[in-house]
Amino acid sequence: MDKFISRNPLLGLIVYCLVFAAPSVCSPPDGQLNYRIGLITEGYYRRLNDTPLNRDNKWLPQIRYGNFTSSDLFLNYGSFTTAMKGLAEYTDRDASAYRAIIRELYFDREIGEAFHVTVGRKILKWGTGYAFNPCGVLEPARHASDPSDRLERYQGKQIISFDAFSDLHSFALVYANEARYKDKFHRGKHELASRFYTLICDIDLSLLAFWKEVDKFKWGVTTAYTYGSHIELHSEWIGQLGTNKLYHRVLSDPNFQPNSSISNYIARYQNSEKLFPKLLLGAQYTFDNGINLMIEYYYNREGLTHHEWQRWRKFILRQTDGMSAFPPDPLSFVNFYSALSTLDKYGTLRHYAFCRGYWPMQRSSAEFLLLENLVDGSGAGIVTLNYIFPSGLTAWIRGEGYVGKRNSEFGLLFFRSTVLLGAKYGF
Amino acid sequence: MKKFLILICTILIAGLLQAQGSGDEILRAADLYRNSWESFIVLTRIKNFKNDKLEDSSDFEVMIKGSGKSLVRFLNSEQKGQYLLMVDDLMWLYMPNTRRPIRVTPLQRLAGNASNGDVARTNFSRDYQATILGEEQVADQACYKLLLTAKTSSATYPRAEYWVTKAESKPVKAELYLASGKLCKSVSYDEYELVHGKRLLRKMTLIDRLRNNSHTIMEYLEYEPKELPDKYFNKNYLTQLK
Repeated sequence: MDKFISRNPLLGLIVYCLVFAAPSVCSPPDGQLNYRIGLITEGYYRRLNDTPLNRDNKWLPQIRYGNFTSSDLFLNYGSFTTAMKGLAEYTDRDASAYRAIIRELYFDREIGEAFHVTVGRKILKWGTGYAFNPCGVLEPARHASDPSDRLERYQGKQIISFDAFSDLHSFALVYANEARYKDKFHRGKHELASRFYTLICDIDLSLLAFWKEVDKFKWGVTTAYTYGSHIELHSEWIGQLGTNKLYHRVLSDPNFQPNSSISNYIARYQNSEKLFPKLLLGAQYTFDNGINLMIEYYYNREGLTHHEWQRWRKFILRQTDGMSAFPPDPLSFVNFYSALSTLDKYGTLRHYAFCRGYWPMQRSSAEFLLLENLVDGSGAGIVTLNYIFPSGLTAWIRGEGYVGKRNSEFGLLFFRSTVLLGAKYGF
Repeated sequence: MKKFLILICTILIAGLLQAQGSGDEILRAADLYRNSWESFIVLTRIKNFKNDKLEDSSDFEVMIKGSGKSLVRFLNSEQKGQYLLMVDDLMWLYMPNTRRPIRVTPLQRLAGNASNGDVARTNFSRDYQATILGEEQVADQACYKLLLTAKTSSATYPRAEYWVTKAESKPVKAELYLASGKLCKSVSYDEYELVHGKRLLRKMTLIDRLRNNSHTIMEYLEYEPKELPDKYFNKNYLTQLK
């Protein structure tokens, strides 16, 4: 569908014209027309890190500066809802790119007093965590450096959802499929998820079950609780027996010598009966003046241990030595690029901590984020200052910095720091 | 002697309980000026002033059911699509860009003057226990002076003093205190109007005692009695609202 829109820029224009004209010419037969229009722009400049993974920025050339601009439309009319995004991106390495994204496009209908059915693409978020979302089985993985998705880039999934509501309980059964139209129709894997929610002893309690074709069955639980006026506690737990995750062979065999006859990756725990849980524990404290402090701890059993990380790092540094040799070893390049798949942008190792400080003021706010890898002590720090002008325009300045030893997860990153300037206007 | 002391204590306790009971009754009667139906919608406008100059104005649609359930829909352009749900002592905030309801404490707030509790709560009797402190003349009206003590953890202020007329139990003014004992806000209940045959509060002014020269006017623009379904007050239903 995105492809269709991006090939038909006129369609986007027509939709936008309709939206601008609609409020004045349309009189909805039932319900009302709700719409929100937003414009977002953000420019950034990055200071590169001379990491062993990318010496002199030559093996994986990185973007130094760029700009992201988007126009957003949210439209609801009766049973029909859509959220669309037209975006333009410019960087110092690539030509300008223009795309249109349909973030959401769905029809929903109430059936009687208590039931609800939804068909189409919709963003569903089921977790209670802020920086991590292990129980977000149907939502895009959340990035701890930008948990609030400030540029609103997340997209929904194609779903058919049945929901039942009472005052204290709700039940959802969702079928999802990542079906896409790209030259011809491609069916994705079937997914089925259910959630039972109840409010018990003032605790938000949700029980989840998730099944995906050619994947392990998962089950989980989320909780949220507030104590008095200051404290909020939340947690997520999801488990599965075994995992289909692929691990580089060097992690289990330090003497592994790659060759072209076997794959470098193996699903080590595919037939395992071991429990592979992900756990999130979080707490918030709000002071009388509105300052809010949050901490979260995240554990992922699928992540690498400290020893595995060291093995991987030594392996990859051997490859970079081969790449730097004269003449360079071509096999080292193949092994190097293949081994990079082990890095996961949502966290490669097992233990992480997250901290957030938020200070709301009359027209402005300040936010501080800290993400730390508890295994090697490396981390990222982010400071954002926001200001809302009387016209409704929001402007921000954001600084991101990464610290850690040269052999640590964040120390190996391609960037040392980033400065971003952005603005957002909505009506 | 022992029997005499027991008798005195019994009389004192009975007297205290009676005073307590009448304080709560007056408080319940005063609540009816803002909470006249079991289920209704009230359109609320909050205007923030600094040095008597209007700084900003926000509109909210507040849906109320019973004494413990309220759902606030933010109508201003920069907060469009945002909801605040309050069920008894519990609060959830739904922001359209995050697409999920999050549990919040009463103290968590967005930028601005209005506290969540000020907007979402329209009755005091659910959150406070009232005791009559005495009688006072306020603006030529004979009033009861009540001491309100928070009885729920979600009460926006731990302690308040509240003046209501003796004749009609109509709120006249209030002083709201922080846990530290510091005066936080002074409230005057300025205007009432007849709506669907009931006399209801139309306008109140909150003077911020912590920030000089800052005050807020809260206007109840339109009351509409309406039967609201229970599911509106389920936090997961917030994702179905537009």
